[in-house]
Amino acid sequence: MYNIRAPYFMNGVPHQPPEGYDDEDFTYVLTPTPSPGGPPVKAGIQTISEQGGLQVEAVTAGVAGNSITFDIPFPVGNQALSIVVVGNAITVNIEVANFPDFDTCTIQAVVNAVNSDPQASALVLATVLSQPNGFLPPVASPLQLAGGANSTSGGTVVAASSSASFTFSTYPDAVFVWAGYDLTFFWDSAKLYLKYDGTKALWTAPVETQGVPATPWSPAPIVPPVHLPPGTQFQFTVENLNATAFSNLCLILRGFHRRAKIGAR
Amino acid sequence: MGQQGQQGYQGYQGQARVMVDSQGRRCTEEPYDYLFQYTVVEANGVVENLSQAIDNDSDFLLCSVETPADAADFGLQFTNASKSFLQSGYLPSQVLIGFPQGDALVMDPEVFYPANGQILINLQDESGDPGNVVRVLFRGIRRRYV
Repeated sequence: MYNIRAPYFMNGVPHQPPEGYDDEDFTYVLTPTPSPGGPPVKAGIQTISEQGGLQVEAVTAGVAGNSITFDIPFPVGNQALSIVVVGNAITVNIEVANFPDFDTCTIQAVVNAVNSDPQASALVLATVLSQPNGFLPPVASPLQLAGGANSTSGGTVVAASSSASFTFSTYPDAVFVWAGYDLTFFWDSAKLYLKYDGTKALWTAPVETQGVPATPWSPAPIVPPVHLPPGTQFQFTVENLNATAFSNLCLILRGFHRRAKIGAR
Repeated sequence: MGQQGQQGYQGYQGQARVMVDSQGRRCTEEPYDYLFQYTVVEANGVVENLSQAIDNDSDFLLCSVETPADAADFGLQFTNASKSFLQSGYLPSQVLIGFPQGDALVMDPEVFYPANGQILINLQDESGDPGNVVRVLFRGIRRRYV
């Protein structure tokens, strides 16, 4: 009963399904789920040797922690354990009693010294990773804390100035005759790339979407239409050319499902 | 199908024109629209299994689906006569906007609903307004057999 007025017009071309088949208008609506967002992450660094391990973590989470440095310079003579803080630079002068032997300063002693220094403890928290009574070796150059990140608000589908890929498959019980597409919710500031069956694509390179937000059929017809077997795997990649993230987007694939007439199945 | 298109379907001097369908039966066809309205109760909520009844004296061929250009955002999903959805997810209302800003949603091929049938409808409000009135025009052709 689907093709009661066949032939119908598809993209302006008279069309009729083959004998024994029915066509039915169908639209794939693909709306990727926005990211859930996340809390800020503290920057940190570890120094591990056969003597033991020490971890230093920024007190305040966020990217600002990535600017903190933690230095354990080689001693030049006997010295007491001391902590020097200049700005975001923390220097630990390890205890040396019998220079040039400097294996007398334990990891636990360094941790205690850092955490009890008002300036250093305002920036970082030091913890023993292993062997608190092991000796802490100097480092060749200051260690830079890393991995700090600000909180993400979530709701992002494609981050600013970046790309994201999404996959889906067509229904397993029908051929999908793909005759048009539309990408909504943004205008002329993105590129779209569609691949199906793993490698096939309509275009050799991503196409920039221009002015096809709300008119799903006429702006981007596919002539002739592409016949996709049941369960065809699709991948679409959206490149966001904006300086702001896409919080939502919707890819619409227009066409029809072709199924054997019920009596012919 | 705009106003001009509707007038063109009305046949000579406004009479419904007599047609022969694909199975050789004589019938009359005339343009006909079903206006579906629903007042949102829960902001951003989903409402399923709403329905638009088809008149019991005529079949209906759905040609396009349209919403006013000033409609607040919502998502729409609806079925064919055998209650299979014609979309894999919620169609954003932006693609349903018709004249003068858009082309509405053209159903191609047309979707057949028998007399006394129904269009089942799922709605997803995206306006955030619990008083939002969703209006959807199901536009097409009413067919009576003679």
